[in-house]
Amino acid sequence: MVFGFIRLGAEVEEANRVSEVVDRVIAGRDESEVTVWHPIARLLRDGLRPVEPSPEFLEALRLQLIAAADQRGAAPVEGRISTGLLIGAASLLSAAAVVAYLAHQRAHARAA
Amino acid sequence: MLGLSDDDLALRARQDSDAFAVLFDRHHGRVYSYVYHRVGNVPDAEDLTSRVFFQALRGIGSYQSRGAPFISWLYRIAHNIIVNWHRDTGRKPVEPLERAADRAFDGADVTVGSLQAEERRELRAAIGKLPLDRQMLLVWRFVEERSTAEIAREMQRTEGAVKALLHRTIVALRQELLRHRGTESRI
Repeated sequence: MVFGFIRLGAEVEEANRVSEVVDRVIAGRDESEVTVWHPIARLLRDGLRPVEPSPEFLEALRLQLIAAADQRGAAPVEGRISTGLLIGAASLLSAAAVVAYLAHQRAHARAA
Repeated sequence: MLGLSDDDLALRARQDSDAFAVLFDRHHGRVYSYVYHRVGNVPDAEDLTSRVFFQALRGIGSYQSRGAPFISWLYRIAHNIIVNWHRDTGRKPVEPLERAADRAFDGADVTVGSLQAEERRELRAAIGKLPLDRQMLLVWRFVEERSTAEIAREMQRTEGAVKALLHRTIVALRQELLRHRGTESRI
């Protein structure tokens, strides 16, 4: 158990050391002390460079997104109109059903 | 609007296209970079980046911070889109970083000092053998130059756990390179 803690402590210490080396290599600080981790960190720094999208692509995408966002903003209004129309149609149907029922009742009473 | 936090902008962006545009301006670079290093070429990176932001626009109404930064939400969307893309196209997700390394070494703007062609090939092969989460860690740390603390927040891990993962990743890379070169290597 004790040996486990010692080994874990050594791993944490080594992980911190590697992290510090990577920090320094990325920051481009020249090293007087070179560890075993420096060459691999430098390889990675040189191999994985930042990339930038083209301004034309960004501008086009931005405009498309804004247009889509504006259209999306209009959608709920259309939705509200549709809901209103539905309620109106349902009311008319109800009224028509009541009129039909009353007409039917009246015809029935007249026949009797 | 520029002074607002991402979360405030996300709330506004539910109805305000300008708010969404500000979020796009803040995060497009990182999303593109992330996507690019996962797919390895400009046309696909542009296509998938577009998909990420359109999906974000559709989902912004249900976005909830839950303590993680807004960019993490974008990365999750990007990750899912890329995973589906790899599945649909049948491409290997390990390939992009190999190609990215190749381009960087071959590019005129990159100072590679004494690196030899053989070293380049070895590095590309070693990176290609890493699991995806470790490739991602390399992108965040080396491409985006993000600190361990920032990566820890976004991965929702402790800083120690991220350092340990970085350590294991670099050890694995180094061992792979040594295995190819033998004991006389300067790696």
